Amino acid sequence: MRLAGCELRKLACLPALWAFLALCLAFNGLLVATSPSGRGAFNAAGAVTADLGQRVDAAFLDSLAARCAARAQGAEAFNAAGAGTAVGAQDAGTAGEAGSAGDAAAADAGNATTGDAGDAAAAGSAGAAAAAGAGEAGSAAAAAPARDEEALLAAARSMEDLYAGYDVEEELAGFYAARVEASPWAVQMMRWKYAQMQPRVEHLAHVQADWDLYAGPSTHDAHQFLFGTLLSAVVGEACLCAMLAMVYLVGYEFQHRTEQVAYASRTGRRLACGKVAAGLLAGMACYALLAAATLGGFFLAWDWPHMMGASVSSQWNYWVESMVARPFLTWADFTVGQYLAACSALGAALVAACGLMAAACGMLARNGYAAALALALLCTGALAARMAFASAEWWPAYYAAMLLPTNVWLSAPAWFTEGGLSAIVPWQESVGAGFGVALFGLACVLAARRFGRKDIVSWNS
Amino acid sequence: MLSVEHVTKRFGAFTALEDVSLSFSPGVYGLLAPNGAGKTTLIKMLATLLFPTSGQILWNGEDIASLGEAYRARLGYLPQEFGYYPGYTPRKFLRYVAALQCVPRREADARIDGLLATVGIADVADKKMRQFSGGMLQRVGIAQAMVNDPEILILDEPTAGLDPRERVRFRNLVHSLADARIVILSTHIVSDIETIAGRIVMLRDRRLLCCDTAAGICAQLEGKVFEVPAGAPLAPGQFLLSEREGAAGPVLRVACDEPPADGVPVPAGLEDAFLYVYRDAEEGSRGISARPAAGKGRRKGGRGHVDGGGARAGAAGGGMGARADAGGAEGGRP
Repeated sequence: MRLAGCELRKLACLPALWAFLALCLAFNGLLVATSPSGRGAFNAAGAVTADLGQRVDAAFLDSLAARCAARAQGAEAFNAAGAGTAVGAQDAGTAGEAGSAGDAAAADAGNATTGDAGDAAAAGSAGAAAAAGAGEAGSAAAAAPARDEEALLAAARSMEDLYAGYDVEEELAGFYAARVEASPWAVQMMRWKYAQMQPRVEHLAHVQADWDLYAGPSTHDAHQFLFGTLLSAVVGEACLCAMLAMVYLVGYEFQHRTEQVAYASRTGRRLACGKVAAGLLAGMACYALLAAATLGGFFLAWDWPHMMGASVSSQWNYWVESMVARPFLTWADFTVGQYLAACSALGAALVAACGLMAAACGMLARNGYAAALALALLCTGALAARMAFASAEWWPAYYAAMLLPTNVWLSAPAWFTEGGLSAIVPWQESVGAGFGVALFGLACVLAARRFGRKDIVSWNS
Repeated sequence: MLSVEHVTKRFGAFTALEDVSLSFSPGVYGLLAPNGAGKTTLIKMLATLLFPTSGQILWNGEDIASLGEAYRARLGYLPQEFGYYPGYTPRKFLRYVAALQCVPRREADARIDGLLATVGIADVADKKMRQFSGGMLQRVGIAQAMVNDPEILILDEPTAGLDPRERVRFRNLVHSLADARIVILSTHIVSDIETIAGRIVMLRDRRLLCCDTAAGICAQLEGKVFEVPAGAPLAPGQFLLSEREGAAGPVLRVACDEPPADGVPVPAGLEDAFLYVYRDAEEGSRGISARPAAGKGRRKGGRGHVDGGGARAGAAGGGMGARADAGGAEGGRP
């Protein structure tokens, strides 16, 4: 641990890491600032579900209708009171102005009185304008949530059973089986996958998951922004931080020509283990920092805390792949909070996989630049392979490539769902993350063993 | 005891060391050989940075590769290319090395203070090393080699970059350390070895030539070193060792079996032995046809300094064959 601490201190003195973190936070801030419109409607849904719960049933509809009616009555009364006040103030102002004009000729006799009347008139006019403005603003402010709640009520009233009678085979399996028909194995696996999904659909219908409001019509955009854009960005940035930190640490002694001092010490080549541990810790710390700062800022603006109890399989939530919109069918029951936790955990596994991949490259290459190049090739190569295999319809190779960290990350918008064309087995993203950790963990162990038996040749030889 | 048993090291088709056998017991050993003879290769194998292609290195009868950490805990090493962290201060760097050596923190802090004073950089202990001269960095290197109070101290070119005063200081330091530990010193500076090494290990053609005292090595050349005035041609069989400024002008030191006509016999020094052993094989066989004119073609003169890069191991031993020393350190081929 002492050595891991020493290694972490080396990272803390690396300006590039802090600069990169700052850039990431700035970028994420920009993402949050340009988040999809509909925040008002989303927050209105949050306020409603905070009071009435997520499940849309008769009681919910009645309560929401009463709430909308009450709000409408309140708005009318407000408007009426506000209009009267404004008219009265305007009349008073007009009368005051007339009075001051009329008394202008008698200014010598009663300057103070005239002045007071004039002041009162001016104040009255200003007050009328202010009251009128406030009234309008108040009406607008009261009208916005009222409109949102009315829209929500209308949307809630339009909800229907989604999962009862939903046939995954008819809706999705046949479509995707046709897409992979070049490979009989892929066709079989795809049909098998959707056969596993059908009981899940029936379960969701049984528990009426589709009747959770979530955020109503705002659900899809908000959900995809949070999980498909924001969290995906955070995970990607954390992976890059982990790789940068690991390559820097593992190549540090080579870069500073201190390999001979370090590896002839009592710790010796075991120092690499300390470096890997420090790199992983640093990667996780960066992930935690990015997630906390980014999601924390986002949750301040959007009322997500009140959505955490909603089912992600609400009928308002869907995702689109291969131009096919389908419900958000997950392999387990997830509330929004549980889904966020699961995605965060998967993200952490990806960060670990990327860190281990960087460690293996670093121990094999020794030179940090060569290791970084190898990493870049691995990451882009995984994506290129996926695209190439899909184009060539080499589906077994395609699905093997989908287990690599880069491709798991790219499928973030649909983690823990049936996955469409990108997935061939249930929980494929989890399998991929675990595979990545296991594969690159093993690569690390083998690289460390090789390093332990390798000659440390001089820096300039 | 540290022993090297029939160690060979090859890098692909290139053989860096062949069938070297040595034993080290407490004392100072000087490793003397020109560039490319295999000194650093041998030292790196002792420091576990390189692994022998064949043979083994034993510490108290156990292979150092299998001992691993238990052996390295006893080792202090200053490499020829001493790297450092420019943004670290000496104190911070030594603390890091102490962590690498698994020295408890409190003990390390006390020892570091002492080491900084010993090597003479206590006043700059908290300045960043990027501001340091080569000599100051070398002193940091010596200090880091001693952080764990090693039983085996291996120093590769330790006095490179040190001024004469610092070199004297270093020699005194090594003297003070040598009683209870093995100190292996690799250097081109013959005077450093002459004054502090109890045994001198010489390598030639990537093999062990001898492991003997300085006196023993010099005795091989006794009666064969002469000083002659510069300007006169060298006769066949005479080998030019060096040139120096005598009282009456420049004189040449030559080695030959037969005394030259105008030669003055002088005691053979370790530098003479070094130059003679590692003379060019071609020169050794045909002799030098003409003495160089005074001021031209000199090898570096003066006692105490030899540029080992200018001399190569010769094919003919000329009396400097492998020799076993019965005094407690053994070396050479049977």
